[in-house]
Amino acid sequence: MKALRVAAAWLALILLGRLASAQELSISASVNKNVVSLQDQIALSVTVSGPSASLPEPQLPSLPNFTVYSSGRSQNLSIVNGQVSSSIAYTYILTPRFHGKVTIAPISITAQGKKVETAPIDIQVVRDPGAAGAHRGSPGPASPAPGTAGKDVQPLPAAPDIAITASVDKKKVYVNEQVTLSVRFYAAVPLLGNPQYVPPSIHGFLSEDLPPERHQRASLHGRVYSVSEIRTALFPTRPGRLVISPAMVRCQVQSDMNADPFAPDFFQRFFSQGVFSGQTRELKTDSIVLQVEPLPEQGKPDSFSGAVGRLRATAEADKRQAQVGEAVTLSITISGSGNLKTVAPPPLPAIASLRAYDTLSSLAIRKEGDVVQGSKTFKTVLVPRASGRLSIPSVPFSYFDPARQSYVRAGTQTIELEISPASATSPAASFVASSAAAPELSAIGEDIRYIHESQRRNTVSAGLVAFGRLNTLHILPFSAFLLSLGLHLYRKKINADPAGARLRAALSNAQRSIRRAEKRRADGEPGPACALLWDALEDFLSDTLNQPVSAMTLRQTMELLQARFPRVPQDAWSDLKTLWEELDLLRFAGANAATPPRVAQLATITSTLLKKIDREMRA
Amino acid sequence: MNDSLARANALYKEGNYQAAAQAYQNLLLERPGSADLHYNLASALFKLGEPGSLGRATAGYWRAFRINPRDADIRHNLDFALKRSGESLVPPGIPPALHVTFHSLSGPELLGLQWIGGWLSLLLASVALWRAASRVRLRPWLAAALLFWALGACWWGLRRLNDVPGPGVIAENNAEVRSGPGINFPVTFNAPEGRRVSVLEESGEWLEIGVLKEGLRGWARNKAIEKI
Repeated sequence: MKALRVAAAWLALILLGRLASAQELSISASVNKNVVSLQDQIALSVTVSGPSASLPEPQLPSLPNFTVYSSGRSQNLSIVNGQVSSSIAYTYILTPRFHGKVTIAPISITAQGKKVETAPIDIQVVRDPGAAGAHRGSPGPASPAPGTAGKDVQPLPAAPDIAITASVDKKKVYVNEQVTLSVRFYAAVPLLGNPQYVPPSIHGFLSEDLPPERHQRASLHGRVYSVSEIRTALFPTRPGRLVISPAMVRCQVQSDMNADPFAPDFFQRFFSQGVFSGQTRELKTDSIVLQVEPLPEQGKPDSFSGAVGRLRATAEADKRQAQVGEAVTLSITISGSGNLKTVAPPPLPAIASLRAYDTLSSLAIRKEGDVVQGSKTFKTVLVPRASGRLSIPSVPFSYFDPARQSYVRAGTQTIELEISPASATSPAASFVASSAAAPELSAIGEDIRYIHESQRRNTVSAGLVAFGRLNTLHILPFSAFLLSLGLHLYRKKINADPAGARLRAALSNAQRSIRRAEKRRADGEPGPACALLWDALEDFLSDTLNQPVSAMTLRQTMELLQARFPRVPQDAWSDLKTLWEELDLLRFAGANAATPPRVAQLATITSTLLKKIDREMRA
Repeated sequence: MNDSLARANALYKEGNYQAAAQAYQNLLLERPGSADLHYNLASALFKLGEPGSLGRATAGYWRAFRINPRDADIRHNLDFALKRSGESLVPPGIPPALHVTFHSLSGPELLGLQWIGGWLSLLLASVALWRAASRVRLRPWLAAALLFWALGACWWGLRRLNDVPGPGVIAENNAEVRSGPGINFPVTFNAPEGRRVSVLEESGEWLEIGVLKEGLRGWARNKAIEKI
């Protein structure tokens, strides 16, 4: 329930905030004069202001009684305590087309579904310029006085009734350099209604109107012309041959009737067309070709971002002393002549102890002397993160000056700030205590980490490294493995032929028993020694025949031996028979039957005989 | 040793980086394998801020990193120094966690680890061959040891493949790199101080180097290169 109440409160706050922001938007409109002649112009200023850097554009109502030109816009921006407010002034030039009372309907803007509009403005259009001058309000845009011949009026090759010309102030320009296009309309005869002007189609240029429309009188080839002139500033966007296509004027001039006014059809013609008939004429200028030079690569500074003209850069901070966490607005202004709309914000150098927020820009353009000029201001909110003397270094900016045909570096001046530590009562210092959320923490500088004041030892690491450096000792486990493998294979082979293995081990087993017998004899035990000698003989024969001989008689044993090993000499079998009988006798004769010397002899005989038989068997 | 180290640390703390660097250099003659001494020497050189000291500092951090890659301070400072010359410790596109894991052991440690796996595997196999009765009991241990050995060997092998052959660092500001070993060969590019290179060949007082990041190669004077 509590959560619901909190959510509802937030929702209400958000809605109120949105409503407030919509309500704070305002629009106003004014004209420089309310009474105007057909040959004059009105400057209509529409100002939109609100609490945001991006404001909606006003929607002009339908103005069929006027020819409307846009004369540019200028924006003012202010940031106070982090709150942004701005206003944009749009200027339109209105040229009346018909006389009489005209009402400019409300001009509106729409923001978040809410429409805000101005009050309607009444305009009186009169035929007589003198009457208009009597009601003139504030001074309007300067225009040459009617009736005076303009000194820059182009001569015409002949003396037609009406003519149109187009010219530029220069034919060879650099990319983004201003070139002024002048379209002049000459009329030596009365026109029926206002002429309709179709501006030239321009591709590859950015354009700016240069109001007001000039009107003057000029005497050429013995004729007096009413001259109307429209000027436009063009900025080429790419190098190469760029073409300005023809401009066109469509107008109606009166043409005399060549027919006899007393002809029979005079009345018919009079009532159907009048005495003078209107003739629609379309006049076109010639195309103009411009040679646009690319900006030179040589000497192009790193900070160059395309600005062309004659400019200067200045920087200013709204305060020179601040506390940590207190916002300081840095304004960088680029001013001078050139296409300021395309000037990009100069990159701020990184300053570790200052946090920079988004940059907002405002533009103020003037067109004095048909030169697009003014200033563009980039405002950046900087928040100091450390106390002390901070220096905002020069912000690099450069532009190309077509007159000098070279790049110009125009960095801003250095700004020194004195930053004091945040006081305990300042908002920047107390936000931690007042906010339940964790304070935001961010690094204000970077450096290497501190040295290691003591040497740390890692015994595991040292052990691993030492073990890896045993070098030739690493052969040991391989050797052990190979040895085990060999033994394993040997064992496997032995297990595959048990009779053969027993035969091969027969002599060594017998020799072991003989050695034990000699040891017993040496210990003075001839009886057990004799028994051991018998065991040696019996084991040898059992291993040789792969069957126990204890259960066999001497005769059976001898027959088996002779049958199995026929290559053993007969005398060996005879000696074996003799030895068998003597040992068999002694082992049953008791302990005193065998003397030690005889036992020693028997051991020698047994050993010699068994070796001989074994050798013969293997042969 | 401890007193000498304390004196060197005191010099560093006072900001006398030149003397501190000399002191750490003397200590390194006694213990050339100490990652901490390489790290401290590199820090003193970095703080010195003289021409060539960034390259030598980067080389010092790199030496320390090769000995003890797990140390967070060494990683940080090496990365910090490399960024001064337009490089970074973790190559672009590689997750940092993967890089930290891959370099969690030094090359000699990995070699020791894979030999431990080898010894365990071979000795267990020998026992199993020798004593048939224990063969079944030893089988899982033998499998684990073999796996340990295989992983250790693969890791060590990958690190060897990934290691820079003939590692070195540019120790001269905008060192001139020529197309051949001599001043009669034209300069083909300038290498920024602190950039890691691979020393490929040596000819007199000239070294053929390959710049790792851009894949360029050429010849530079040996005094412009700090070998690792």
